[in-house]
Amino acid sequence: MTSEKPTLLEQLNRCEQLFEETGHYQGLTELPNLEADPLQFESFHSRLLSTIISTRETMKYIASSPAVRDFEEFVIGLYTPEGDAIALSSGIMVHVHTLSEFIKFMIKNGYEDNPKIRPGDIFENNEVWAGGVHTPDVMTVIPVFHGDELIAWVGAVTHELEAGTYEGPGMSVLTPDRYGEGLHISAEKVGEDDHFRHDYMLRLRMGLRNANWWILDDKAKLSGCLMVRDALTAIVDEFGLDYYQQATKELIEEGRREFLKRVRTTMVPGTYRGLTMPVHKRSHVPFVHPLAKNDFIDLVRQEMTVTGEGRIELDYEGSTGWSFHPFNCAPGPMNGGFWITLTQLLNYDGRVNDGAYLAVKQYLPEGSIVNANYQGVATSLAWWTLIPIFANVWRLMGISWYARGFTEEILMSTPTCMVGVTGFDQFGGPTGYNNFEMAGESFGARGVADGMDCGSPIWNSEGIQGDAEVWELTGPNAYLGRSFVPDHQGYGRFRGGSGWQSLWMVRNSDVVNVTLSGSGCMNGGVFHKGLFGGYPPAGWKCLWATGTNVADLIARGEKLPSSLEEAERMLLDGTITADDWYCGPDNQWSPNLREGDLFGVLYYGGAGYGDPLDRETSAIEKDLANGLMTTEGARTAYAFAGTDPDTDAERDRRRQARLAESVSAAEWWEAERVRAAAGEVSDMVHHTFARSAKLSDVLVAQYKAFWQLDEFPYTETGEPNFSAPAPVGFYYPTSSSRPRPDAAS
Amino acid sequence: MTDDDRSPVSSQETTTALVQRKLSWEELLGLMRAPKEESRFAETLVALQQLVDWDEQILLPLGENLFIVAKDGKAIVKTKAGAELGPWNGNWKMHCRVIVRRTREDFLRIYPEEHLTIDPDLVEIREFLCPVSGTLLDVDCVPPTFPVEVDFTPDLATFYTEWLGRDLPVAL
Repeated sequence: MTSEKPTLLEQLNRCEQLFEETGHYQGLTELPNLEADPLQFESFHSRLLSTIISTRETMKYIASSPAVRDFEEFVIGLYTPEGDAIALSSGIMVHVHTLSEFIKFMIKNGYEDNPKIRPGDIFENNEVWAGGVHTPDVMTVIPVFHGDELIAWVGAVTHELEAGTYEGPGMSVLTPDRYGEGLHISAEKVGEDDHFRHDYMLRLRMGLRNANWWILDDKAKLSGCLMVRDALTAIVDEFGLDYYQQATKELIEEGRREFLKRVRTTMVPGTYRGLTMPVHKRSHVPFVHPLAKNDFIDLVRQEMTVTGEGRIELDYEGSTGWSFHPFNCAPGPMNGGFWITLTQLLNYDGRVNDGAYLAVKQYLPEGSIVNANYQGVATSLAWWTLIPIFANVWRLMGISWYARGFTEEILMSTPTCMVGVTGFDQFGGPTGYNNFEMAGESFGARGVADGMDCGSPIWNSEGIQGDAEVWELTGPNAYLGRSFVPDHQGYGRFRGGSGWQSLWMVRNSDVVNVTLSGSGCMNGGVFHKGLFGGYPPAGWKCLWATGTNVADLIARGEKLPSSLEEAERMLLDGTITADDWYCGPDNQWSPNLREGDLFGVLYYGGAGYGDPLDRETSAIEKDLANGLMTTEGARTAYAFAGTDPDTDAERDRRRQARLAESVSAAEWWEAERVRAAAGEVSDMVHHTFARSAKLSDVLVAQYKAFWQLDEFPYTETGEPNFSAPAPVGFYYPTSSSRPRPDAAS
Repeated sequence: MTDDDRSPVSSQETTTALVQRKLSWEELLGLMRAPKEESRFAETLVALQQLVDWDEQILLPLGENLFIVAKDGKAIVKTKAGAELGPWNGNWKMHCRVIVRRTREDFLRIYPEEHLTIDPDLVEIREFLCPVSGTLLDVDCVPPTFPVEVDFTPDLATFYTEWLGRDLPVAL
């Protein structure tokens, strides 16, 4: 009888209860379909996966936004009725579990009763409290019914280049809270009968500057979801409904088991430690919200435990708190960040499903930067925290692979450096977008090779830089240059990928301004350390110049700059005149720019691996030949002296010089302890330590133990002592600190 | 080059060549694509042991020039050049020589002036050196006065006895 069918909420509760009781997904201690006929099981999985992947390729030609068509910023996946991922396409695999959280959010908040879940319904979300990451990542989800039974969900995500933010680009750099980060679609039903509602379309048209991108991406996602829905009908007809429902559960349980097995095969159990410290400065920006007019460091302490069972657990206790900026994270963003790590480093064989989620755990202290608990919190640029955090996890996994002998797997990532453009475009309409050529950033060094110079970012397994011409069509700008930056690499036996840069001129518009920022490397910070003696790169830079004479230079047929350095030189020597300009490492929101004005960004290179003095001279010569290093740079970084014998001699001398310059660590500790006791550091560092101590005593205890001190010298947080309300009245994903033995006793 | 063109070599030879970074990019791609063999760890230890001049048994590599080794029934940290840096689960960095860079002038010894934007008020660079050879073992970038910590403390007992099914030849 229909009335006896369990509700989705009952199914979800039962699923969670079974896992809690048995440790197996859906209580599956055995996998009967896999064991009975592995070939049929594999064939079934391949049908699901190939359906998802081929659909994604078709979606690309339905979408109109450059983010999807040209830069692969989308993904599509298949989910169980309870919201657990079964199969996912390539692309922004961040969203394996964020889509999952969105579906569970609807189930746990009673959507079956209101607004009801029916065949033909379309649900949409970019709400962080409903599993989303940030406003530009827009999820579209449809239910799939077999008769009157909901048997699956299909979901897709696109990253939108414009989201209606205060500043204009899809990701806000400067908003203090959610009220400036654009259009929120908070887990809403936006369509029925396989069509989007007109009132939703009107909301998009009026809430966005470039609504057509979002709308046509929505249609691409919906088309993809409908294609998968149709394909599922054929698959269920072929394999039978019972097989479909049982085998999809088995796929997830198998995914969990395989994850544990892979960890035990390739890693080493133990405790891994990382430190992320993105620096944010906004006080110099002349037009910023009073709540956001501050300079601070977000300290993220990371402890990764690989357990004896093969689980991976990440603990962030000791991190600083959330604040009035858009770099905050919550369980949704943190799950997204973890998934891009897992799908690229461990689950890269096509078996991407929520089984792996059941084999990992993140402890996110409430109120910290990784688990903000204010209802109005902004996460528009959660990536500025996520990217360095999870790049550090990549680095820590590299240590594990090295210890186990799988050196070929070691890979470090790089920060993302970003340009946002706002104003009126070359067609006279309002515009706002982030230039996604950042999706072609370099890699950090590998364990067996240099980092790629133009690679793929941590957040998109298929990221590409794209054609310059596409970006010239997207907005009112023309490239003056796009080139590698010599000597800008993390030095090491294997060097990080080379930094590169782009310089633009405003074209066909007299009202443009730009935001310039980066993840973890800007404002004088370092993205993260290298491995085994490798260095991070030297720093980050951006540039803008307003009221320039570039149009006059063009009229006179004179040379234009083609790089940041050249533009800076020409500004300094007066060849280019400007009403105002900036070239340096601090986050920027430029004044208005007009025809002929300049802006540019340096895409920071990757960190190095191993002692630079162990680098092979042939590799240095190759970089010299390719213009990625200067002779002077090679001498300084690698003691390169031209020939092998001369270089060997110089390196011997350099190692001896190091020893002569160094002190014993114990000697350094004695002297440094005086400074540590007095807390003689800059105000920003003082505030950082104090903000950590405000939430947890972990860093305090570590500090006092290491320096053998009775007092922790850092007490001033440099911020108002605010206590802000958490959301009430609905279920949302949560996390908490790791239970500590002393607290339990 | 196809798989068929390759000279037949043993798994140990391949691992030794990997440790010595003598594999071609095509061979490395083959390794990346291949299933991860359980024999890799034992083969890696054999290959690493050939690279060092001392006799202590390597139990676990910690870095390019750093190992946990068995000595007199105990596990200690030892560098490739032979410096001994304390117990396996201790803070081996505190047994190193160290150069701490905390001013722009210090940073300019490493980085080109036109690129250098790291702010020494916020970050200091700590270079940990092998006291015997002067080789860099690790480079930390931390806020000034942040405690020195090691990146990895293995669970040696679980790894050897439960994961590898081998006896750990030391008392922990």
